[in-house]
Amino acid sequence: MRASAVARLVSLLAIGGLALTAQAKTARRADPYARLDVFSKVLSYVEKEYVEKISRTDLIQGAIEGLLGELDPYSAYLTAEEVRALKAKAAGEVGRTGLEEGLARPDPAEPAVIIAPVEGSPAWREGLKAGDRLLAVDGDSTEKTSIHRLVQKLEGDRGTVVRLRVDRPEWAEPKDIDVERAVVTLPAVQAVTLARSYGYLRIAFFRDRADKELSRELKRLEAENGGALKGLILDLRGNPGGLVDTAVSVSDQFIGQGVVVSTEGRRRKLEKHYAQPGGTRDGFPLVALIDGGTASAAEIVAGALQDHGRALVLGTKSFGKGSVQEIIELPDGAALKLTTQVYYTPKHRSIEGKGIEPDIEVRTSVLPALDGGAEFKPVREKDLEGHFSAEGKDGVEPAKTADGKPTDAAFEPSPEATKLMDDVQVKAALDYLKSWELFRGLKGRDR
Amino acid sequence: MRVDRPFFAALLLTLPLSATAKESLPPDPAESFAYVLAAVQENYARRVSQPDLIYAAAESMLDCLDPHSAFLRPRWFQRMREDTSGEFGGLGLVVTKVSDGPVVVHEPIPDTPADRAGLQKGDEILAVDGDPTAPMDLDTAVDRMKGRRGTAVTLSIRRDGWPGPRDFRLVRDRIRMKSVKGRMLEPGYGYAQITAFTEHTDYYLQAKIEELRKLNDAPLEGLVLDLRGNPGGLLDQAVRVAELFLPGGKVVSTIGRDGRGIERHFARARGTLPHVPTVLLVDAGSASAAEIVAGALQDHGRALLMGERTFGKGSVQSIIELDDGSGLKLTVARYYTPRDRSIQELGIEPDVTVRLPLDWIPPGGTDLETAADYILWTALQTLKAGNRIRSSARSDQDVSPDG
Repeated sequence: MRASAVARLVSLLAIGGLALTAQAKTARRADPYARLDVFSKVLSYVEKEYVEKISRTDLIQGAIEGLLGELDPYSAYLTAEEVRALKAKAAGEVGRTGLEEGLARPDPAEPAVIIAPVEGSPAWREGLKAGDRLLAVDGDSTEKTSIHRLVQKLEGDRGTVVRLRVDRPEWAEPKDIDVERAVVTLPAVQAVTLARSYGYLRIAFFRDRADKELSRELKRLEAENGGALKGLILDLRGNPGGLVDTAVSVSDQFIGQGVVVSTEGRRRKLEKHYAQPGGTRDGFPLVALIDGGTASAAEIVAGALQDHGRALVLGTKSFGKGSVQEIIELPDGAALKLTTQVYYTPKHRSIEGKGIEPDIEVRTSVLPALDGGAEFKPVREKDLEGHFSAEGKDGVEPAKTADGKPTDAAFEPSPEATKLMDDVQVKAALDYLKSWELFRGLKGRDR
Repeated sequence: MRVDRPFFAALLLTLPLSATAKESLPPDPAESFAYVLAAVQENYARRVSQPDLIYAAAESMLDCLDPHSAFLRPRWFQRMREDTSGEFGGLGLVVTKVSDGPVVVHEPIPDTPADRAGLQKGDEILAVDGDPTAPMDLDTAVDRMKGRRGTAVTLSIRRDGWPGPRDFRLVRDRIRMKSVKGRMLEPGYGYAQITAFTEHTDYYLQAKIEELRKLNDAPLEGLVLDLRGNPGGLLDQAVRVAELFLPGGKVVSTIGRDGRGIERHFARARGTLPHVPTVLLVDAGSASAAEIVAGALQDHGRALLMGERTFGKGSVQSIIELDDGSGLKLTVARYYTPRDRSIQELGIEPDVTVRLPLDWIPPGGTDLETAADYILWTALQTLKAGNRIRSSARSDQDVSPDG
């Protein structure tokens, strides 16, 4: 993801050129650089008159931070050294916690919030969760620190330890958690057969090639279930986003035609990304799972599937980051990570600050224990003394559907599938898919 | 201060050049700012106003400096100028407000448009030029009433006993906030308080002490000069106020960066007030210009300092107005008392430390306002005791030649 971010560096000469033409065009109407003159005077007074000598670099650094402070929390300034480090990082392996792509600050005055730790990453293994407040990194408060700087602090050499101070509503007080940095490379897509012909696909983040991983995993699911699926759950929970192009390509696999997302910026006016006809998987119903950790590119997918009526969106409201950042290199070697575009769903809904509302809200909760111990157990026929045993081998006759395929009763779920079924939202999604299949069948009988 | 040439104009023209030849030229950090500004304006997803970006940048840049340096946007710079000049175009009302209620007159300042129109304490200002004041915050309401001298404003006033509100059309005038207050404490003993060192503070103080002497109908026997809670103000006013008490000698010296720009301010002999024993009251709220006066009078042994240690702001700021009405408050020098003491962080330790006791019961025999102020009361007792001791010493001297 970082690698491709750097690959998307915008040429700087173009920006210089733009600035120049802007100046040339407007020079006669009003001087757009009059305020720049104010700034240069302020700088000059401070340099000449201030009671102590102060470096111009520090002053300008302060000024740039102030300027970017007027923008959104995702925009940041990268010094030339940071740009070099970023490029080096893209080439090699850097130790990470798994929080780097999943941090946000909904309220600028508050500490950073963890959108979602990457599954299987060191932070995830230490038990950090979506919604945790990250108060400090190695003792330094996260308040008034940009997300960008936080990421720099989180990353480091593999095997080194970073101490995170984390708060969670149910804790009496914040806890210090040591996380050992490691190389975080996880499959972006995981697929599990939940029940016969019902698949579950989780996209952890939209890194480059996640779309290819998706179609590969989808094929594997289909092969596992002997052909066509009856339903698929697309899990976008805790997915902090990634590349817009990948999100578009993933949506394209489920949507036949039409707009997937449109992006709009100052430099590039409204730009529409369309689904390509062909290769569309529309033979089965889809439920998309979202939650507060579903952000950015993941919201593009959820929004597109929802607006096209391609998926039932289930879960809780998504995060609400509807903007795209680009890295813009400056001529002096520094760079800007700048929010250049906001995006809209096919129905021209803006996600920024609002998020995607699920069609059906299902909150996470733990299912009541089934082995309730001394609790009430309903009395059934089999509990009665001297009841007749059921006929057939082992007393159970495998149920079969009309077309002769085995039903769930004979399905041997994998450990992953069993674990997933403990997840209230996944279970609800599967229930909806099965109900839909059932209702469809009833309708057919009516005919 | 003159800036030779705004460097950005030149810089933007050379931008493509520097981009091609960037390897050979050491980068100027100021260029980075221009690049960032241009990149944000051209690429940021939303339109952002250039003044807001520049002002935010300037504010943030000045935030890197000491707490007294600041960049002020036009509205705030204007307000600061009013504060230091003690003068503004307005109506002459001191007003208060409770959250959603209308603005209420606390008092009209004597001899101002509001006073002449007969506005009274307790009058409710329901609207300014037809706009209700209840939803405004106090600052906004005050801003609406202020304005250029000679312009008119209509206030809708409600007063107890009136059947309904009445409109008053007032013409704004120059309002001077007097920075000096005072009264006689007891026969022979005067009290003058300087609330801030604004323009003409020296004149107001001189006039006040003259007025007290006339009220007393005899030379004063003692004076309490109150600088408590005085946040400072203009340096030259501090020098002039000190001058009223000192016939000569150094008042303060200021030293800029790297020891350059040393300025020594001396008291002129002309205009010194007749010598009266003086107690100077200070507290933790006495800062800057107030500390200059306190330091000078203490170093010269001209006044007894009483109260608590002062704030400790030993720096001097320049106020610089820029073309667009914004401005700069910039720390340009440190100052030192006549004995070359720096005030910065340390403050001035009074000769006699007096704190308000928790169980102070105002004694009788003095006016209530004086008696209620323990430190002022103590200052008055000290002056009286000092005079008694001195007169007894003088009578000793008078006696001894005969003896």
